[in-house]
Amino acid sequence: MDPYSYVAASYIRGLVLPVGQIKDFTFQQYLDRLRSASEVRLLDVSPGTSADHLFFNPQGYPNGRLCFDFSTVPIDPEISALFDLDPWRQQLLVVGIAQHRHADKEQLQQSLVLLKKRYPDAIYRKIFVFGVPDDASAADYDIKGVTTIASSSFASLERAMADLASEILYEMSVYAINRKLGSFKSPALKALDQTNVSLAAAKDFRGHHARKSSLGLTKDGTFSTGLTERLKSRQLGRTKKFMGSFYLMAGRLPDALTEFAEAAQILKQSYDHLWFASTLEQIGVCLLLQQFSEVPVTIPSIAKVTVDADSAGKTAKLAAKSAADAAAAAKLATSRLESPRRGASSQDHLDNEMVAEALQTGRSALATFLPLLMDTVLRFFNRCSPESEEMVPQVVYVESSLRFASLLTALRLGGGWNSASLSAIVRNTPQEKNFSPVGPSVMTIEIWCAHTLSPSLEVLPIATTCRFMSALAKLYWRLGLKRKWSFVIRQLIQRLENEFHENDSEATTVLNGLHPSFLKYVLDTIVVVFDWNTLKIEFLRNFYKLCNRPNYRSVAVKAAWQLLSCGVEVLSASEQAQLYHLIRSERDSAPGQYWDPLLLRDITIKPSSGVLSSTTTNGTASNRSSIVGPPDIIYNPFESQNKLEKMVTIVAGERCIINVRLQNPFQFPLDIFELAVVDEEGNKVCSVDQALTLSPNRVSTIPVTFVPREAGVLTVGGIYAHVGGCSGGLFWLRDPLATLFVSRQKQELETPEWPTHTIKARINEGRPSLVLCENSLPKGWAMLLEGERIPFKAEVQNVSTTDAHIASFGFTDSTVEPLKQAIAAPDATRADIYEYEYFLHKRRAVELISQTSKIASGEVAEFEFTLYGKRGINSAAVLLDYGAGEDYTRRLRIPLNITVFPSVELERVDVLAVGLPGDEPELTIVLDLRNAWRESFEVTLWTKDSSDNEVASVTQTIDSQKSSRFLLPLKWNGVSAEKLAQPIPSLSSRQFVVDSKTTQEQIQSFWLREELLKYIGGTWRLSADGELRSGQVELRGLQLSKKMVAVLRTEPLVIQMEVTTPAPLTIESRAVIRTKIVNKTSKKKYGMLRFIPNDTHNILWAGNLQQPVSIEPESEQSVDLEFLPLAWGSYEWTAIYDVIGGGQALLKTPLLLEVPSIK
Amino acid sequence: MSYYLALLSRQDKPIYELKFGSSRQGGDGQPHFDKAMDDLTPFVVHAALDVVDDVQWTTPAMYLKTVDNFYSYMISAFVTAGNIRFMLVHETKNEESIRQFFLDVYDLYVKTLMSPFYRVTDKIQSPAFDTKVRALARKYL
Repeated sequence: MDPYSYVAASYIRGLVLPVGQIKDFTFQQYLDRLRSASEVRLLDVSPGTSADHLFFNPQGYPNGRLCFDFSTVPIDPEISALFDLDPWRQQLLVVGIAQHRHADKEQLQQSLVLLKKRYPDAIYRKIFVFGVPDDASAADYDIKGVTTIASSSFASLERAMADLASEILYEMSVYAINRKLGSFKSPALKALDQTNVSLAAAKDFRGHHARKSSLGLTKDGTFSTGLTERLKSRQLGRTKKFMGSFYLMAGRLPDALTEFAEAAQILKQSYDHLWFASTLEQIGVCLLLQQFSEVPVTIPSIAKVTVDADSAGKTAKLAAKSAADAAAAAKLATSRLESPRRGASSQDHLDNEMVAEALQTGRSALATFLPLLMDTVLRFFNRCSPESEEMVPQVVYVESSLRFASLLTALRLGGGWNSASLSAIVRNTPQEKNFSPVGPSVMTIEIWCAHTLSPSLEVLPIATTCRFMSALAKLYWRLGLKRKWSFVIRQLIQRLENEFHENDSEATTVLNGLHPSFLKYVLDTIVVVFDWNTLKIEFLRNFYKLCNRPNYRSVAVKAAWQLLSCGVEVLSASEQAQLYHLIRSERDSAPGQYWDPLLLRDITIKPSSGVLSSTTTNGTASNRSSIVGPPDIIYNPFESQNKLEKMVTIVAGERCIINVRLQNPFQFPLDIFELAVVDEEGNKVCSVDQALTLSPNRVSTIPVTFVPREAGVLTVGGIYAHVGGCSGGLFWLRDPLATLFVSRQKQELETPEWPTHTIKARINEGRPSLVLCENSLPKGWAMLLEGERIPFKAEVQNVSTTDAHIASFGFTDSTVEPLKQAIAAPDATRADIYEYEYFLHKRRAVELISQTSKIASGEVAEFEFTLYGKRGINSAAVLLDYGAGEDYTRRLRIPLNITVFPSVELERVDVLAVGLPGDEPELTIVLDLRNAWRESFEVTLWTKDSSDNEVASVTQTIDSQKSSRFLLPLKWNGVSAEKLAQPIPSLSSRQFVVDSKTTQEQIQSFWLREELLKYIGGTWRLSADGELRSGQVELRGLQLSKKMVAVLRTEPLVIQMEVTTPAPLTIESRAVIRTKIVNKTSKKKYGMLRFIPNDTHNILWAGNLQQPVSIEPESEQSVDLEFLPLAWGSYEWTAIYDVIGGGQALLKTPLLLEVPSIK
Repeated sequence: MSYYLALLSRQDKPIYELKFGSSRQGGDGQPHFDKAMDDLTPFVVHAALDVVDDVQWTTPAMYLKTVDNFYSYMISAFVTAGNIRFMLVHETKNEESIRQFFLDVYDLYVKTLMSPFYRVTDKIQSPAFDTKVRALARKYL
């Protein structure tokens, strides 16, 4: 029975208790049977003697019915003060349930005595013995107050209930007679008699703060002044109200209505507002029950008048309507009384239509009247002063509102006033939702519910508050108002949580009444309703606080889980850590998968170590230092995107790494107990062995090792992760863009189709794998002096089952990059670039000496290399590319750590145009060398001629940090003019650019230097600790000065002219001019020698001015010419030698001849 | 007197929230909700949506007047054609002013909606909208 049913006042409350040995389940079964027969028609109740039923003779209104409300919970002592005002709240009856199998006569007798002793306030006690076999003799339980109920027959129970009704009616009569002798006190006054009763006043029910009632009454205050007339009439009215209540319980509705009407009249006149309002409410119940019994309803005039006066305008219509109703009702009255069985109008003499019409009119009248009546009731409650005897207890106020809200709810669900709705109200029959515009609107119901949810609830005991709020929540739930329901639950949780700070024990009692699974259900429902994140988080916080107590931790875990999933932006670091700690510590009650759906950010598969995509080089060793790049992709916009999808290559049987990027947006380190990579169907591919911890507030990359078993394609769809405290679950790879979108709009995520994708890797069949077994350098380290060369060996083993073909060797060292940068520098001159390129390509740190082209499976191959001490180097590497076929080579890298120290440095150089006496080469080169090492060097320098024959060599010992000068003859042949005119070459395959910046001098200087370097060379030797070391002296630091260039630049053909005649020149005397041409080249020259005098008119000559002359290589030829000056003056002779096939020699300084005049 | 205005999307998510006080009768324009009520206003508004869902079908008007009460507070509602709910928590009955206020806010909302950069159900973060709503609050409430 719903305790907040509108017709609660019509029930006789009974407490049901188990007697003797009886199992819980059996007890419940019997109780259900009892409840199924809890309604007794007065027609079936035996009248007994008329004296027995002094007041409540069932025959007085055989149409009525008597209802029991069987409860297993004793009445709350809190409300005992209300018994005078609302007698129906009492548990008048105590029923014991015994089982035949365990019952004996003596025990039952004792139990009866015990019940009487323990429940003295009940007016009647009874024991039902259930499960009595049909053949059992009734004499076994021949005790007054004990009734047997046969196990098979329902009739037996019905009969027993009728007997019980008869007996209780008798006891009620007796009780009523006794009670009428006493006085009826208002709850406020009665509460003073009792301790532990707190009744909050319902004044200012819409204010913010209800005051706790502090009555200005003394215990004997009102009564000590003597009984005035008003008090007398009040007592009379209250007595009548009491009788009305008992008539109502006894099912005699007309008598109840009469008593209530009279009571209302008297109470109104004596200004007893509280009791008057209460009476009006009971009138409403009577009217509704009459309506339900399909008895014509006549609203008592006192109620009508009061309501009219209270809401004059509203009820104008009502008055007219009720007049018409009264006529219809009168018409029916006589006939309806004849049909005692409810709903059975078989013996109608009247027109059925007429009855229906009258009923319908009655219903609509009641539909209009009841809300007004209840309005009036509340208004009268509000008129009561909270400081006086009239104080309205909050419980009464709230319950009245609740009862009426419950009535309206049933009407709304039933679609207005109809028999289904009425049945639901009176009999609590289940209802299906049948909303119609005729029923009350949500707003109307809400007004009544709002009365319930008043601030004064806060001062009521927590248990009472919870009961009210639960009842309210139930109403909202029935109406489908989930948001309202959530609000009430939120208030309830908040109230309960606050109570823990004030009165721990009571709050604990209330909380213990809630089953964790129920709380979980509430949480699940509310989280869905509260889409508004602020609200959800606030609620979850409170809920978490409330449930974070023993026995409820599993619920708290669920709340914490929810909180972390939606409130990471709001929660502080300590809060987050606390929540996570709880989830982890209560691992058994894991609410589900890890809450962050974006845990997995990305997965990448790293190709197997050293696998290059493809190579085109053949097996010969080549000194490449470039790395083979990926194959070119020809982009076709019309091609399907999948074809462009890049696939990394991994090798079967070899370890590869799958990098999993996981995010932890929280402020605490997140533990992952299990992590596995899964394919598109969720099957595990590989996993991490140990537990992991993700650092707070960052994205971490976790490498997962994977060894593919056979060739094919590896597809990765996501991961399986078991995060601390949560159950394990799958996290699929999502589109990265979608992930971005989702993280921004996480709350707005509405699309259930969140696209996933996979990544794939090609698994190749087994490939050869080479490993370095031995390196002759100690620990891979080498110390060299500049220019020194040392050999080293490396042993490489093929550890795979496939033969390895060596594709190519490559070397790289630490100077490669700086040199490349220097070459690319925009301001570098051609000569500089050539020098850089020379060091890049010609001075190699490592050179291969011996190699093999194939290493069979399991074999070890030895490679010999030479290391060269190149200045500025600190590391080098040998890159060995190999493979099984043409595609997909692998690279083995042998790293070398090298330290190069300076040895002999070239400090200064000069070339002097001074030949040693009598010697053909006429140049001397001066070289200053310095020992930059800590030990003495023996340095030998030599010069060579153009035919690579040694010309001279000098050996000197240079002490540490000392300099020494070397003087060496240079058999310099010069550089041909053709060579000097050539552009500076490039050693790398650079794109040709027309060089406009380099001057002719720079080009000449470059070629002269290159030539000079061919003429000179040197070595150094060092013996330390019995170890002989040697190397080349680096002379490329040599730079030519302008002076040196001038010295080194030699003409290939030289013309000299002289007068061989010994006597001085005179007019008309013969003179001989000898012209000598020197051919310094290695070729024989043919050409035409031309003499060019400045004045051909005043001279005579013998022979030709042009003569063919041939000159042997590296020799000279003289040509003589006789001439005769005819006049005095100055004569100039010059000569040009034109070489056939290009080339020319010119006498740069003409021969000047003076011929004096004759005096 | 204090007011709380919330514009709620179809999914009950707030797209705009504002707490303000009356600027009339010497008010300073600042909200003065007491602590308990200050936290509760969003809950109250959310709960009132249940009533709005029922009431909106009973009238062709967009302005639904006062739909709900909580303690001494009233909740007025306005439903746009796109089912965006404007909810206002207030303390005194002032139907005409609130109606005018809602209509003008609706005007602003429609202008926001026409922006190509605004998507329905997104939060309104435009400072211009906020300034104008505050100006309307000063004007009418």
